[in-house]
Parts: sequence; C-alpha cells; structure tokens
Amino acid sequence: MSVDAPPGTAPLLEARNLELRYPVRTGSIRQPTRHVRAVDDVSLELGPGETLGIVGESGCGKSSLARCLVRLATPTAGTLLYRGTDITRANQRSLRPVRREIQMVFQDPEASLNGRKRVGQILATGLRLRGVPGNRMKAEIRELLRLVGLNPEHVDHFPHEFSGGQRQRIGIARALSADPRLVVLDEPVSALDVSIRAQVVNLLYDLREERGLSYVFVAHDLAVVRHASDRIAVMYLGRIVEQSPADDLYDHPLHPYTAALLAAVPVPDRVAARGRSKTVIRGEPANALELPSGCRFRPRCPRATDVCATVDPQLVDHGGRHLVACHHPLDTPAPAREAGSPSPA
Amino acid sequence: MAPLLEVEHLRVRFRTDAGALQAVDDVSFSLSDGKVLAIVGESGSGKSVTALTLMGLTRSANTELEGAVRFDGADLLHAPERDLRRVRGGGMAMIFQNPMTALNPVQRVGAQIVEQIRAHDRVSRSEAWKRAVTLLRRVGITRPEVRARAYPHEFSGGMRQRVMIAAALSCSPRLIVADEPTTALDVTTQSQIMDELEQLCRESTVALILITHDIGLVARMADDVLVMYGGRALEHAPADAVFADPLHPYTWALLRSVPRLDGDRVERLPTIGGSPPSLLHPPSGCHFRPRCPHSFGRCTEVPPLRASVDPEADGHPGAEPEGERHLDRCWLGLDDKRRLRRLDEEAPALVRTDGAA
Ligand SMILES: Nc1ncnc2c1ncn2[C@@H]1O[C@H](COP(=O)(O)OP(=O)(O)OP(=O)(O)O)[C@@H](O)[C@H]1O
Ligand code: SF4
Ligand SMILES: [Mg+2]
Repeated sequence: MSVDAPPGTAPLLEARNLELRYPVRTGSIRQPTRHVRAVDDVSLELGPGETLGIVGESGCGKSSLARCLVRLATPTAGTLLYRGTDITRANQRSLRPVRREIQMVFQDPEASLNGRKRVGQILATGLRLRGVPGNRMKAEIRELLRLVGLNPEHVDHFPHEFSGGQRQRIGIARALSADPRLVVLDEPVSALDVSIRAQVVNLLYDLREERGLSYVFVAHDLAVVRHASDRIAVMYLGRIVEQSPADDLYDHPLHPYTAALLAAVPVPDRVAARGRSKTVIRGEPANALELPSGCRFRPRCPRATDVCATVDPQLVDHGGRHLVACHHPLDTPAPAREAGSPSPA
Repeated sequence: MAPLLEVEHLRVRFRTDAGALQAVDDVSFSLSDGKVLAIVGESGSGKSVTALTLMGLTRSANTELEGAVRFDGADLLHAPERDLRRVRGGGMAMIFQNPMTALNPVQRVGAQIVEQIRAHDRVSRSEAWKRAVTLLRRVGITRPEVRARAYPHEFSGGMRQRVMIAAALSCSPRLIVADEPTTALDVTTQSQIMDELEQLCRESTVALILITHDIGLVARMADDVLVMYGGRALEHAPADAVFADPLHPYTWALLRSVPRLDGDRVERLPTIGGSPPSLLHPPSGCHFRPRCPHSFGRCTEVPPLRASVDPEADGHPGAEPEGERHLDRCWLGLDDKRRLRRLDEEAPALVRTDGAA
C-alpha cells in the first residue's frame, strides 16, 4: 500500500463512522457475550499542521478512539483513512510505513517507557525505523534530546533517573524519533505538575511549528486543551456530541454537556470563582452497557424533553463548522419542561 | 479564643538509605472552627507529609519530628499513641487521595462505616447502621439502605470518595484533613463533591485543610492559603491576598502558569523553568533560587517567613492583625516584589490572533 498520496488534496487523517466494540464478560457462560461500544459512530477530520483536541470524562472512550486512530486497536466498523488510503483493517505488514508516520505519546511516562533500556536505546528504535544509518545514530539521538530540552549528556541514563516531566519529554522524543507527520497524544500532561505541564505544552507547540506536525490531543483538562488546539471535539459515552473551532466552543458552547463541563472547571481567580454558578449537572455518566434511550446525556441533562427520550440526536452543523448533537442546543430557547408538553424538536 | 489547630515550626525529617530527607521544614499555621485552609504546592513539596504528621501517621523509628501540633489546646506531636487514637476517632478525620487504598475491598461499605462509628461511640450495631445510612444519604448517595450493602468495587470513583467523606464524618470531627480528595475524579464529579464537602463543613462548622495542586479549587474554597515548596512554606496569607497580591516570586509564577478557561487563548503558556528541588540535596539558601528569575546575592541564605505588608499601612485599618497577616519567604523588599511581579505579568505569553495555525 502506498502512503504517498499527493499532499494537500485529502485530509491527513479522516475517520468515518468509526466504531470500536469490546466484548464484555458477564460472568455467566450461559448468557450471551455483551458488547460495549467504546467508540460509537465517530467521524472526524484532521488537516496537515492542525491540532484537534478531544475532551470528555473518564470512560467516555477518548483513549479507545486514540488507539483506533494510531491503529493500536482495529476499529470494528467504519473507515479510517490516512492521506486518502484506507487503513481501517490493514495488517501489520502493510501498516509498517504508516506506523512510522503516526506516533503516539501516552499518559503515563513511567509505564510507557521500557525501564530496562537506556534513553539512547529507546530513541534508536524509531531512528532505525526511518533508516538512519548506524554511524549517524549517536548524533541524531543527541539532536533529539536537545530538541525536547533534555541534556544530551544523559543519553546513557535510564528512565527512572529522570523526573516525571523529563520522562514525558523522553516519550515525546521517542515519538519524534520516527519523524512522524501525526502524533496522537493521550493525556500527555495529566501526570505532571502545573509548572511542568506548561513547559511540556509549550514544547509540543514549538515542535508543531518547527516540524509542521499534526496533533490529536486527548485530555480531560479543558483548560490545557483550549490553549493547545485549533478545533475541539467533546465526547460523551463513545459519541462526539459537539465539535467546533476552539474559541467558538469555549465562547459559545451549544451542547448542554459541554456547557456543564466548562462550568465545572474551577477558575483560578477569586472573584470569578465566587461569581460562578456551582454544580450544573448532577450524577455520573450512564453505564456504557445500559445506554439510555434517545440521547445518552438525557438522564443528566437540564434541558431534556420527551423527544430526547425517543430520538437519538445526530451531529448537525450550526454554521462555521460548529457541529452539535442535541435536540435543544444552547442557541435555541430553553424548552418548557412541564410533563407532557409538546417538545420543540 | 484559641484556634482549633495550631502548628508551630513543624519539622519532619526522614532517614532514608540515600541520606536524611527534610520533607517538612519549619511550617507553622493555625486554623479556627469552620475555616478552610488550602495547602498548595507541586509534587513532593511536603503537603502529604504535613497532613499525615498532623494525624500522627508519620511516626516511625526513621522519622524525626520537631515543633508542636496542638489540637484544641492539647499537644499531639509527642502525645502517646492512645491519646492520638482518641483524637483521630473523634476530633480529626482524614480523607485520602485514593479511596480504594483506604477502603477495605472485602467488606461492605456500610459495615466499614459502622465499625468507625462503634470505635468511638458505644452504640448498638443497628443504631450504628442507621447512622451509617443517614451519613451516606447526607453525602449524596441515592438509595443508601441498598447501597450500604455494596462492596467498594461496585462503586464508581466518585461514589467511593463520597463513602470516604461519610466515613470521615462518622466521628463528627471538628477538623477534616482532605489530601487531594478529588484529583482522581472528573471535573463534573469533582465539582459535585467539593460542593457537598464545603456545604457539610460550613453547616456544622467543621474546619477543613484542603491539600491540592489545583489553583482553581483553592480560589473557590479557601479562606487561607499556604504555599509549600521544597518542604517550606513560601507564602501564607488570606486567600484574597494571595490571589490579588501574591508576594513570593514562586507564587506569582505558579498562578500565572495555570492554563485558563477565561481570557485570551495563548500559543505558549507562561512557565516556570527547571524543576522542583530534590529534598535529599536541596539548594542552599532559598529553595526557589535555581528557578527564580529575580535571585540576587543574598538568596544563598535562607530567607525567613515574615510579613512584608503592614496591614494598617496597606489599607486594612482596624483589621484583625493575626488573621490578616500576609507572610512570605523571600529576600526582596515589598516594593521590589510588586514591581517585579508587574514586569513578569507584562512579559510575553504569545496571544493567538487566529484559531487556525
Ligand atoms: N515515609 C517516608 N520516608 C522517606 N521519605 C518520604 C516518606 N514519605 C514521604 N517522603 C518524601 O517526602 C517528600 C515530600 O513528600 P509528600 O508526599 O509530602 O509530597 P506532596 O507535596 O504530598 O506531593 P504530591 O503532590 O506528589 O502528593 C518527598 O520527597 C517524598 O519522597
Ligand atoms: S529569596 Fe531570592 S531566590 Fe528566593 S524567591 Fe526571593 S528573590 Fe527569588
Ligand atoms: Mg501528596
């Protein structure tokens, strides 16, 4: 399979109606195996040099989606196109050239690095993948370390000899070692301290500018994603419920869930913190095995009406690439909520 | 009125294989009934060790404790274990970051609360069970009669943390020490739980020590703030003062490095270069010196924690001097601090002009 499609024509990465279903053991062998759809009918596009943020609560399927996008997991339905080529079910062999171009950075720098390998060895794997000759290896490794702000002298150190922030830099250097076009970052800064978090976010930004990388930035921290992304997708129980340019999402959220998420983030400011309304939604996400009928956010939604219980809302463009899947988005007046009242669908 | 809790010049030192480690280095604060003190700081700054020491949980042959911890007038730091246990059962309760490690996985949650109640209150099993159910309802667990019979693994992370809060409340404490109570949780769950905890504390004038690295939570909850760094308190003041007029270079850099939901979207976030100090080999003098853009000759000596703002002169005439004191640990003079802070704040954080890069 060729990955050398002419640049600029197709998006770099495109997912159409992607689905990832996991079998769930129910404990009883007589019961049929049930499935949970961790990723359910997700479509998205990523252009060259673009950063797409993906946010949502734990268990909403962010990481599963990330694993599909880098093909660490094979989608159970839908289509995944990389530079116009279908890689949805491509096997390991035909994936090899793509593997180099799509890299991933994991949440836990500790667990994702092989503790028995020295930093130099960790980085050499990717460099070999892209055919760097042995005599250039040392220089390239030092260059990579410098690039991510680590001391090139530390090439023979083991991961545990670095701090958490430095280990995440090693994870980023490892991803870059293969000279990728696209890096999928799964909670890359969640494990880090505030002051270190900002350093790593800036590093990612600089690398993107320098190398023209595209990112998929998965995180639950809305403030971090806001600054790092051009567009943002909000996930809820396997679905994208809202997707829009970053500023628009934060200034004018349309989905009641997005609005609630934003309202729940405590702002680091005394006056604003006091002025903010407190809890907007209650409860926790439904169990992915027992999805509610209609809209899956309905049990927690302050705007839900009868139609929400029967019709599963689809993503609709409200202008300016701002998509939302809701019967009563926030750019419409709040519905009357008397029982039995006609629902303004 | 004497404060509920007084901590004076607390020092905690661990003997480790790699050498002596000063985890807490001269920390003092006091707390009155119904007040919320937030202790903030980065990983390894000594927040948890401070909390655990208040509860008497760092005692061991390899720990040296100095200073004083007085709860309701009685010394705890050097009190016999028996007295400590009584205080832990009745006066002070702790909520841990990871509820799973604090709950017994093979015991029903109701039974665990019953056990706590009966450890310090001579009531019958059925009476204690009734109380446990009431407590679970109070912390927002629906159908508590049924859920009390469940095991911890049958609860979500948020629900488990609610159980922990119920267990903490079971001894009708006057002080709750909460160590990162919601760090492992989603924002929506965090927001609900903090609402509940705040309401419970204000309702029954329980004092709260909230340990966190989430500046947003501090802004929302705290009456007083203690900023820790490398085991030391670098700034200690009423929350309004810390946010409006941060006086330590670390505090203002920290406040600025938090990515925000309001204001302009920026391309590069303001940061603090470098990383926190090693407590095994701390820098000499001011612990923040290696990362501080404003350090000068004197900073190789340890600066004292002291007030550089005179509350009378600073426009709070008649204010209660004790509670209003604004302490920080930096050699710079007050005018220099404010001037340098303004300069730092004007320094570039590239503002985005256009969403698509
Ligand atoms: N029992 C112990 N023996 C030796 N060293 C310890 C012990 N407990 C804690 N430390 C050390 O004391 C220092 C302060 O740790 P502490 O857990 O208080 O940090 P913290 O501020 O709570 O950090 P975090 O935000 O990561 O929870 C760390 O260097 C830690 O490794
Ligand atoms: S004492 Fe010196 S090094 Fe420490 S914060 Fe103040 S100016 Fe910076
Ligand atoms: Mg801690």
